[in-house]
Amino acid sequence: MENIKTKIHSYNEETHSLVLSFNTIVNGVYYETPAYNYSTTPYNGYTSDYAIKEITKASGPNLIELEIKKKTAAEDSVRIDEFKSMVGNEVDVDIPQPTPLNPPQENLIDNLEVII
Amino acid sequence: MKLVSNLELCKGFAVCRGHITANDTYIYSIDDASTDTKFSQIFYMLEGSGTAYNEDGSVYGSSNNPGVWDLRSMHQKSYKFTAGEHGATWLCINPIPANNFFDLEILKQGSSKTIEGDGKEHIVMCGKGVITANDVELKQFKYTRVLNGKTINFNIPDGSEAIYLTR
Repeated sequence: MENIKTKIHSYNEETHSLVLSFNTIVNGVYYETPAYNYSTTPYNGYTSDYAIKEITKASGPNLIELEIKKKTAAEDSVRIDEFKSMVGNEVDVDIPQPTPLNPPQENLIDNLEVII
Repeated sequence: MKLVSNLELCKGFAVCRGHITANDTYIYSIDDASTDTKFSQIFYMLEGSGTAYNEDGSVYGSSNNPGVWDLRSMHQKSYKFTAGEHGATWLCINPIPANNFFDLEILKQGSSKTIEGDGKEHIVMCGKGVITANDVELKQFKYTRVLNGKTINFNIPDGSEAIYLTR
């Protein structure tokens, strides 16, 4: 299954514009595009203004990951091709392997915990 | 599919918040349902509605806002969720490791609960509105732990709701 992720770096509620980058892993190599500036209005085939607004409100300054998965080849091939065309300037970087998260994670600081 | 989600890592679990648009389906693969940080054991509907389906396609359950499911029976199984006509926005609690399940209790509006730290893991998260923990406000999605030897009084005012997790 194709799996291209979009990392949204910021969202302007007034202009509904996003700064985002695309990334994907091909044959074990991680690729990430430079950050792009998008208005969500002409981009509403791929994103949901409402959802981004709500999730942004909920998550504050945290990065949002927008994941678009292929539903059917016919239905999404155009999207995927478009995303692929945006994956320009591919640069090899260290593959960000998920860190094993077996507890205890005493040093982990998150933005949700309140110490009473 | 239009899916927006974010994931926040906490100590011993992850919090996932997401939204899919009307009538869209999100499929959890066996890999998703087996992997630390990815398996959504607790599914808490914030807005909208939807239906969850077992791996054989039978209906697991339908939910309108508010609604909550303990999906531990889905561990290491493929399942899917289809949003209703107004889409669905949810919060999930993903235990780490994925099989270190939480027991769940919803603290309803207008209630209070005193929890003593007894060596078990006690986590209370504000799911809706604002709650207080020893008179300290916890806004939506904020949580606190009741550490061993401590006692915390939780108050859930009208219009609010809390997710109480133990293991």
